[in-house]
Amino acid sequence: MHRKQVLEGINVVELTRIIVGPHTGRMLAEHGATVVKVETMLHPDTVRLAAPFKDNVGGVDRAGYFSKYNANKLGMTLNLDKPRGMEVFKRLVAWADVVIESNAPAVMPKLGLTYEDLKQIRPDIIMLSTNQLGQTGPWHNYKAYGAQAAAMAGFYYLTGYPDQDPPGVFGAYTDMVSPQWTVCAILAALDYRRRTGKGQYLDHSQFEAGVHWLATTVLDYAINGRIAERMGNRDPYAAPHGVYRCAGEERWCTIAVRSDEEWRAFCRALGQPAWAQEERFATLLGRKHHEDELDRLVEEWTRGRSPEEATAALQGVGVPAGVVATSEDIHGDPQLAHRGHFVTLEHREMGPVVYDMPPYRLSQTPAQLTMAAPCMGQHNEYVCRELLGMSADELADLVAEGVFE
Amino acid sequence: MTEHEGMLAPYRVLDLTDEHGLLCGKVLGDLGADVIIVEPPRGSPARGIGPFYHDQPDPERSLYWFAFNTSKRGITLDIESADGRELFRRLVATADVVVEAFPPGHMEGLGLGYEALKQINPGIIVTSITPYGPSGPFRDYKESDLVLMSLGGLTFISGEPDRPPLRITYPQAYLHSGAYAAVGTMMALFHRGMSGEGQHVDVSMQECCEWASYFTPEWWDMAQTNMMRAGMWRVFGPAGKMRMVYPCQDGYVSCWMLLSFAASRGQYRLVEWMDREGMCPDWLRGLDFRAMDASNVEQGLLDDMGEAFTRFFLTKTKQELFDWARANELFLAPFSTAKDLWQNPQLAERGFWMEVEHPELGTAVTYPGPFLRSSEASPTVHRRAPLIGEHNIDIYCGELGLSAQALTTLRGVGVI
Repeated sequence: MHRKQVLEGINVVELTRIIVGPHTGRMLAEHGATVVKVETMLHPDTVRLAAPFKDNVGGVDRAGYFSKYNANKLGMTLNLDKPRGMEVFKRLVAWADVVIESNAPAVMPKLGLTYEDLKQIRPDIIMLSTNQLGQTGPWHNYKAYGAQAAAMAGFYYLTGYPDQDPPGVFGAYTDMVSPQWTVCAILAALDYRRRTGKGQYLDHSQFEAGVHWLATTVLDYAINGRIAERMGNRDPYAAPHGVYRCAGEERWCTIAVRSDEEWRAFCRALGQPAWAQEERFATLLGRKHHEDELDRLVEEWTRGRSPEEATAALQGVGVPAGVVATSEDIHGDPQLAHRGHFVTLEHREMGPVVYDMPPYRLSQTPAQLTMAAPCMGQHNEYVCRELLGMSADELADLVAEGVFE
Repeated sequence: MTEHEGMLAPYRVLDLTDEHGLLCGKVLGDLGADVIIVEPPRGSPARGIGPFYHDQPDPERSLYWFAFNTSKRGITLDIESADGRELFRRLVATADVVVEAFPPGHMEGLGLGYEALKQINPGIIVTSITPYGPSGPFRDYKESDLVLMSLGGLTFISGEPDRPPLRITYPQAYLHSGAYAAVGTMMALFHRGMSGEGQHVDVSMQECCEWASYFTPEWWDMAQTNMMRAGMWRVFGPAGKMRMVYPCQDGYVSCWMLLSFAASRGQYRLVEWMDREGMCPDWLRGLDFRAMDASNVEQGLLDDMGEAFTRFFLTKTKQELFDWARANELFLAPFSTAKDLWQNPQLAERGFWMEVEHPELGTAVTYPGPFLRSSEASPTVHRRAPLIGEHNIDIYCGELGLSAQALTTLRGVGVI
């Protein structure tokens, strides 16, 4: 029996690129929204051109990065520089409940697709803009990638060792902390519209999202004048606390000992080695004071074991520990497997592709991943005929005009 | 503080979480929901997390508590006691959502699991945040920020290749968990609005952190390759790499030099700028970045470029460089410190900071404000985080109709 999904009947149009906009749309799509991702062949979504590619064979329909964030969506190509391409887009707006865009702030006004414009077409439209620095403010037009926004938000300064230039955390980390806010806001806006009939415009800055995730450091500066500094993998309230080398190439485990109880359990798991009985390691302050030496001794133990063995030995006695997961490890994780975290979908060009489920499970209306990410323009005909109700002749005209490039 | 009610004004949320899920209630509260955080009688353990106001460790002065409990009211209740459970059930009858982050099975053990609460309030939504999920081989495993972020995959791809994988010093795992819990809760809330049906939302912190590792899993699925960390280097093709982190006079900047048709105008202008200041080596003058194929540039040239730019950047401050980069279209940004954020004109101009009165401290504290702007009702800090039991009288006496006498009794025996 068909169970109505949460967002069934909610229509979404995306003019998005890379991660934040697409991930926002995907979270709506996996709970039943009909999401049309609009691209143009002239400038495909940047991540269609980025590795990894399926079987290391390049191609706009073979990119894993694009695939991840665009599952469950319909794919459409439209040239918005052509008047009839724009006309089709505006018909999509009239059909849509939500429009998501993640372009530089100058793009939508230039296209004549600001919120005010969209409102003329659909008065109760909900429009979300997400970009690096927001739609207003002296620097809003600054063009950059998420890696720059992540540095600006403070994550890069806070990732590294104190004795070395900070490498920063990998990539555009602000992209990892943004879609949660945008989806919450869109869902709140949909609920608000349900109750009031009003649509709205949502302006999201990925940089600001990042600052929220470092909120305590900003309060600490404002109130105590302290500037938070990077500490490698250490933690002021725990020792040992770090990433330790294990047996094998590039195999690592984490260990976090936060209390006396965990320290005693840790020593038991290691078979009470003589060094662990030393007075200097008996207290947290002692362990912090001798932390370099402690880390060296702990690593002597981990080096002889796989991260899975070290984890089992430590977690078995109640000490937080785990594998520092590689790409391969994530697929082999027994807990993720138990949760059904991965599902395999058939992709037209790539064959079977593995997708991750969202991290929340709704008991009555679970997310359903049913479609692999679209190939370029895969659903042009479906969108025009089924969703916009065009006749076959009209569609043929548009094809002849080259609107779908 | 702003006047409007917020988009979620009709809804009430009972927040039973500690540090593992506080952000969930904050998101819903900033969006306007009436979020009541329910703490054990002596206060939440999250109040012990520093730093503290004026560095005075005190449960009423935790900046961690301040930051992630905005827009909430607060009551105390021992839900382990019979009276506490009874009062909690009465509260559930008035609520739309319960969020909790106890170990798996804890609420069920108290007779307060989803199935039991549904009997009291059929439309209730119960969101449970657990480290790994309510069942499975890791069910009873311990967690920490480092453990979860590393299981998720972000640690392995961060840090220099010749040193161990690296986490972000400031803990992130609990924030991912709280934020995704808010998404799952909102999804359930919208469903209830449309259908009247409540449900249970099961959030795995491990899975939340797995979503923080970009396309790490896709590298294995697509290409049977482990994504490797490259630290401060941008890797071009199999061997070539170029600096993307540069020291400057007063800190660091991130700068992407693209060696392809996508190279920015700013790269050429940078070379001209260096030339004007007498810091451009001959070989760099006239180098055509757009004509280059990044995967096929000699490492020697990549290293030389890195060195030349480093030498030049060291003569400038990060603000000078960033001001120049914005005007000249170079992909360069400063590594902000907490102090830099505080002084950032973009945040100031957008009204990002919000002054919130803390009468108990005799002062106002400035917070990160709206996490997004809405033309109808922006999320905002509706009130500062609650003191321990601050709203006990309002809620127990004012709303549930408990007598002052009964409240005193329950306080006396440690239930409230």
